[in-house]
Amino acid sequence: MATTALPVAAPASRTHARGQFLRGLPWAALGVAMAVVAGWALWYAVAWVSYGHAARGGTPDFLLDRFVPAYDVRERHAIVVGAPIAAAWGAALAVDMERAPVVHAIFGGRRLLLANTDSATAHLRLGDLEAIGWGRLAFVPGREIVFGAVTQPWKGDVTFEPLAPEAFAAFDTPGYVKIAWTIAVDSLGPDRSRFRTETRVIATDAQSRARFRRYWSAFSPGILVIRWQMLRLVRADAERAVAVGR
Amino acid sequence: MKRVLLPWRGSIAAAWATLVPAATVMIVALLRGSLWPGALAGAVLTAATAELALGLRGRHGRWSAMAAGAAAVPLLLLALVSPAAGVGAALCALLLIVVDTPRRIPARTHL
Repeated sequence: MATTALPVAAPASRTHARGQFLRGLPWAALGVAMAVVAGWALWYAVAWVSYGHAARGGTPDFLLDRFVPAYDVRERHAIVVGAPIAAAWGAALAVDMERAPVVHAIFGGRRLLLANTDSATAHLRLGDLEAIGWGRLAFVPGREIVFGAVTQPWKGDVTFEPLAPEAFAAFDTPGYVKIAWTIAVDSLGPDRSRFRTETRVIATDAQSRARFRRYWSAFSPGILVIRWQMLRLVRADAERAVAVGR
Repeated sequence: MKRVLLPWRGSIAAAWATLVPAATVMIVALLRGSLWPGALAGAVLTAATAELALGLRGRHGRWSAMAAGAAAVPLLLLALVSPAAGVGAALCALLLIVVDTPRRIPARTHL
């Protein structure tokens, strides 16, 4: 009697699916790379277009208004800290931003991209910034510090030159940008506070404005990541200090 | 009766049209220090890119894999800025992707 051969069972679908997945991984990685490049290009374009049109609302900072009343770039960031204002202030002054791996990578990448051989800025704390040229423009003990400097950040070996507070607002030597930024803590109650930072940048002439515009458009993603990482480190350190002290 | 909740669902063209506006809104929000609006825009961007990946599967498997990889990039950026924002955006994107509509993009034979 004739028999019909039964068909050979198809390969397990799980094996096939796994093979498809593995074959797709290099293309997924290519997709990540293309999205990063396209995303950076879009970021550059958006930052370029919005340069000089910084938002002017929000909580005023009267100290910064004294030194940079008009600005091309304004960044403001804040984070609520589950710790008293004194703990948040102490953490802010002592934070080492390069403790965060991503910040360390960004600083290292900047040194590489701009051929910066100076390692003096490595592992600096906010309380030590005067050692690398930032000037202290204003200081409210336990509450706020305003740092300021004139600089040319588009250069590889960037240097910061401090100015006296009374000379900062009027400084207009061509070829520089003036940067003033504040770190401040506000009380939200006996066990809560807010750590905030605001940075303002103004160029002294059209050529510097164009140079900083290119620099800011290209590097602002990394700069913003550093700011946010700083906020998180301060919060973590302040809350840890309170927990340890209990 | 089931409703189409999201404008880009069921249309590759609409998914493409969502990408640049969502990415722009996300970038503007992050530049202005608005983390959670940026995370929401990032979630929309991820969901739209994931929809592209779903629609391109089959004959255009390589493009589908590339889109799937690209969908993770906004979440990676948000996670660098804030892990909480990255996780929130991922959950929001997942919700947008799986929300019930009658017009899930079928596997296409052309882009």
